[in-house]
Amino acid sequence: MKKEIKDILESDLLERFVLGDVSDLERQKVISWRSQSNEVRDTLMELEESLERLALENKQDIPQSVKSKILNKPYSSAARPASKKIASSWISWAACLLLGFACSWVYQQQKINSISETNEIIQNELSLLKEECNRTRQRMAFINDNNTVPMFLKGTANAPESGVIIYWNETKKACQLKVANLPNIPANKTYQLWADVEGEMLNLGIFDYKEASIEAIPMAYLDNAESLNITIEKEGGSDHPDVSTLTASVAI
Amino acid sequence: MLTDKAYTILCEQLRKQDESCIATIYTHYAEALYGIIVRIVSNTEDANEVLQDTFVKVWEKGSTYDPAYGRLFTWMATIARNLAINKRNSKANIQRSKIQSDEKLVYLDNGSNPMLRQEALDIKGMLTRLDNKYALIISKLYFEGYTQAELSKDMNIPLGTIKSRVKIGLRELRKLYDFGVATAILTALAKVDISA
Repeated sequence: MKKEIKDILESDLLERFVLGDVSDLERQKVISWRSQSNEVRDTLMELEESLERLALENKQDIPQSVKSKILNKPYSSAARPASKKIASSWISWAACLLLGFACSWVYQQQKINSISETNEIIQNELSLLKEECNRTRQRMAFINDNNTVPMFLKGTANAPESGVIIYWNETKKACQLKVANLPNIPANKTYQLWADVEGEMLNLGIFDYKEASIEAIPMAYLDNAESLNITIEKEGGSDHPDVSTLTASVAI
Repeated sequence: MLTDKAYTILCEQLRKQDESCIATIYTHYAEALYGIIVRIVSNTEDANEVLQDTFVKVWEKGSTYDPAYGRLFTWMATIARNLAINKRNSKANIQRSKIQSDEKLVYLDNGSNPMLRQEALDIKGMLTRLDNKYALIISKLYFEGYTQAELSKDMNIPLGTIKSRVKIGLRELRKLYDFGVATAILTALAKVDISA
């Protein structure tokens, strides 16, 4: 089962699922795995949240006439069609009622819109705070884990005042980075973390030093790392480190 | 986005066919759904019709919606996208859309100016901060209703490359949103400090 989950996570099935590009069979497969595996569920949740945000960022104004049609539609009767006679009678009544309340509707709608907008702003803020709180809890749990070892990367001669803390957990095979102090760098440069594994410097990811100075951020993990090193690289990161820019390091 | 509690209530209302959920869905999701629809169909009139059909279908199928299958918005967006694609196909204007799309590709390939890209695709937000090669593919899959296979053929890029770019692009997008949330919190806290 673990191998199947790994295969699913490594494939693009989950990405295609959230993008709506799957067959019915594939859709059933994803739904089934979602209920069986927390990893699948969490990955899907992250993908769905991202795309939901993307859609919200790209929302488009809807004509008022369309809005009225959608909100005034008698959905209950649409879902349960009545006989022709009853339906036609119902529609007549509905039409009369709609005409009767048309004026008050417009007035009330303006009020509702205003309240809805305020409500939406408050709910968005609450949602953001809640998400942030959950993430902070998870990060604190990782840092306080018995198997997490904190390591201090001291500044090199290039930047002796530098200091970075790495939280290294061999059991969870995970790593987090928190900047204590790093010099400012130009916008077209980035800090990058490297692990020395059997004499080869391997990429553990780039990070935003300003973001990482506020809270610990997750980085990649590699087994058998002998030292951890931070260099300054071009924007987007490099495949190989520029050791002349070595800023901080620690031997494990 | 709705709070967890409000979201759970909304899903329950939809499942129980409580008509009041329509107004909530409209308030929170209609414009986002419309943003997807309007990019797939080629005119406003069709988009208006598809949005109304989407609400009817969401209502009709609402009793079968199970949150365990995925988020409500994903489910509704799939309905909206499928209806929009059907509308586009029924209007037999696929060819025109693809010609327009090819023109967009030219813009994207020729320049790195983010304003030009934004204008050409009319895409806003974090997607514009992704590398062009990822942003383009995600935009076409999510907002224009293409399949990966169609994109591979249209763009003359191997399907494997498309798949990799989707995977990396969505991962990078998630990172951008995570960072965006952190920034929003800090901004909010800064405002609180100032007012205090």
